[in-house]
Amino acid sequence: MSNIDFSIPRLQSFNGIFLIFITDLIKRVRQNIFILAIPFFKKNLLQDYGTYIVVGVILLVVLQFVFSYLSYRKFKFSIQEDAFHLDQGVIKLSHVEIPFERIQNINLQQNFLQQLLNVVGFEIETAGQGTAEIKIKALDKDFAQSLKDKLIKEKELRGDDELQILEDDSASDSKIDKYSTRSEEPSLLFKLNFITLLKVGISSNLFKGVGLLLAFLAYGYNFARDFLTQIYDLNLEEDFKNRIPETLTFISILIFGVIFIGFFITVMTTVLKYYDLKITKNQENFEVEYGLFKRINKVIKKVKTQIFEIRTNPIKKLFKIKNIYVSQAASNQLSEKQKIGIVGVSKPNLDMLFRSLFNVDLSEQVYNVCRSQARLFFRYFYQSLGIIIILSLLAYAFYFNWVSGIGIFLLLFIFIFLSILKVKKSSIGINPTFINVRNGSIETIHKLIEIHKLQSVKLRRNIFQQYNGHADLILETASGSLNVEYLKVEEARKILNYLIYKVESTNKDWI
Amino acid sequence: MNFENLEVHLDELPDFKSVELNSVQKRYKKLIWINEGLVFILLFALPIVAFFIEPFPIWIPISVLVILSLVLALRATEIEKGFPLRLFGIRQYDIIYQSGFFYFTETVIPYNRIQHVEIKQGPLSRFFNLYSLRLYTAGASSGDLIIDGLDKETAQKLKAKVLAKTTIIDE
Repeated sequence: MSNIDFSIPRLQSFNGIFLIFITDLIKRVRQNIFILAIPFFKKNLLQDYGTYIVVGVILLVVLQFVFSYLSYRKFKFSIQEDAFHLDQGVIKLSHVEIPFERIQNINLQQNFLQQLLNVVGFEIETAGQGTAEIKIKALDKDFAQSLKDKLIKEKELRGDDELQILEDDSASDSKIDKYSTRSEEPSLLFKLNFITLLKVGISSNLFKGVGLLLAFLAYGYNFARDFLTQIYDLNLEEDFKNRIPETLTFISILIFGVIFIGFFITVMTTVLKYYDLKITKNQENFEVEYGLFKRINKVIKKVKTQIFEIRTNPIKKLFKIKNIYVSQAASNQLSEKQKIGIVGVSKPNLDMLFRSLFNVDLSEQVYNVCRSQARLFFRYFYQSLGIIIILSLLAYAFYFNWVSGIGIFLLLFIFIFLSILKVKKSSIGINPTFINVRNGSIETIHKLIEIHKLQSVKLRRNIFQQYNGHADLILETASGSLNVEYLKVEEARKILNYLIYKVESTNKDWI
Repeated sequence: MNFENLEVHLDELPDFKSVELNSVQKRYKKLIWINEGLVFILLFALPIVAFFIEPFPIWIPISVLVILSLVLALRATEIEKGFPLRLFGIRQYDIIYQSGFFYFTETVIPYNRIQHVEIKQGPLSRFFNLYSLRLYTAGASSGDLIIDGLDKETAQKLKAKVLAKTTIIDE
C-alpha cells in the first residue's frame, strides 16, 4: 500500500475547485431559473437595462467563484488516530469526526463532470441517525483508493481489537480464520455483457421512458407556448387545437410514435445506467460497479443487507433474466434510487449471489404462503376510479369527443385488469428463516427478508376491514416498511405472533 | 391455508391479543381536544372572515365551512371513539401498543430491536403533567413508536423496563 501520510489535513484535488464551482453554479441556476428567464420574456427589459443585467450576472458568477474557492480552501480532512476528521464551511464552520468503527460503507463514484476533470467522489456512510455522512466531491483516483483502503484497514484493526478483548480464549483459532479470509484476493463474481444489458433494456418497464418523454414534451410545449405568446403575440393554444386532425390514423400514429420513442429512451437509459456492470467479491463484501457517464461504485455488506428483491416480467422470463435489488440498512425509507441494482442476472448467477449473501440455497426455500383476499380488488378499484373520474372531468371541461371517451373507457379496463393482477400476485410466504413478500402487476416482485432483520410488526385495519375481518400486515425493517394488504385477520395475527416469536427467540442481531 | 414446517405449532405460540392492556391517562383526551380546538378555531376563522369581505362570492366560504365541519365531525369521532382504544401492554420480550378508530393499528416491538428511548414533554403537556415515550428502532421513522399521554411514573417505569431488556441483550 502507498505510504501517504493521512494525518496532515488535506485539501481536495486541485480540479476540485472547478468541480465545486460548476456544481454550485448549476445549483444556483436551477434554483433561480425563473428569475433568469425574466429578461427573455420582457423584451424591453433587456434593451433598457441590458448592461446592468450582464454586469450583475458576471458579478454574481465571480462572487460564486470566490465562494466556491473559499469553500474548497476550507474543506480539509485528515485521519487522526481514532477517527476521520473533516473541517468545512465558509461562514458557518463545522467539524465532523467519524470514529472508524462507525463507518459502514465507503463509496467511490464518478459522474460525467468528475470523469471530465479526472477526479472521483468519495462518500462515507454511517449507520444510525444518518447526520454524519461525509461527501468529498473531488479526489485523485489513486488517492481516493488508498484513502479507502486505509480507512477499511483502520476499521478492521479496531474490530480485531474488540474481538480480542471479548474472546481472549478462542482468539488463536478465530484469528487464523480471519487472516486466511483476509488474504483472499478480490475476485470477479459477475460481469454483465452487452447483449444481456440490451435484453435488460428491452424488457424494462417502457412506461418509464414514455413518462419521461411525455414530461419532456409537456415541459417543452409549455416553454414554447410561453415563449411564443410573449414574443409573437399569437395564441398557440387555439391554433394548435384547430390544427389537430381528429382522425384515427393521426392519433394512432401519435400513440405509436410516443411508445416507440419511449421504448427507445428506456433502452438507452438502462444501457447508460448499467453499462459494464461488475460485481467483485472482496472478503465478506461485494462491490458493485456500473454506469457509463456516471460510474457508480457501491458496496453490499453481508450484515447490512436487509431486503433482497427479485424482479421478473414476462419478457424477462422469455430472455431468462432477472433483476435483483438489494436494500441496505439506512436511516430512512429507501427510495428506488438508493437500492443497489444488479440487473440481467441468470438463474445460476442469482442462486450464487443469494448463496453468498445468506449462506443458504434459494431453491431450497419452501414457504407457507398466505394470499391477499379478493376484497383487496375494491381498494385498487376505488383508487383507479378516482383517477378515472378526475380524467373524465378534465376531458369534459376541455376536450370532449368520442376519442377521449373511448380512451377513458379503455383506461378503466386497463386499470381493472392491472388491479386483478395485483390482487392475484399479492401474498406473503414464511418459513423458519425467511419472509417472502410477493407483489406486482405485470412485473412480479419477490422481496426476501430474513426474519431476524425485522424491527417491528404492525397490524392495521381500517374501519371497513374491522367489519369484514381483514387486516394489513406491515413489516418494518431498517430499510423501509413492507405492506401486505388484506390478509384474513386470524391469519395475519398468527403470522405476527410467529414472526415476533422468531425475532425474540433468536440471538442474531439485525445488523 | 395451513402452516407447516415452521418448527413450532402456531396455536401454541403466545398470542399478543391475550395480553392485558393499560390505558393512557384520561386527562390526555382534554389535551388532544385543546390542540385540535386551536387548529379548528383558526381554520374556521378564515371562511367566517371571508363572509364579510366583498370580493368573495358567498358560496366559497359556505362550502369551505361545510367541508371543515365534516372534517371536524370525523376528527371528533376519531378522538372520542379512538381514545379508549389507545392501549399499551408489556410482555416479557416486547411492548405492544394499539390505537386508532378509523385506522386501528396494533404494533409489537421486541425489546431487542429498540435502539434508544426518549421521554418527551411538550409545552402543553407540561401544563397537564403528561409525558410521551418515544421508542426508536433502526431505519425509517415509520418504525418508531410514540406513546403519548403517560404520567411521569409510568413513562419512567416503561423506559427502565425497555432499557434493561435492551442492555441485557447487548451484553
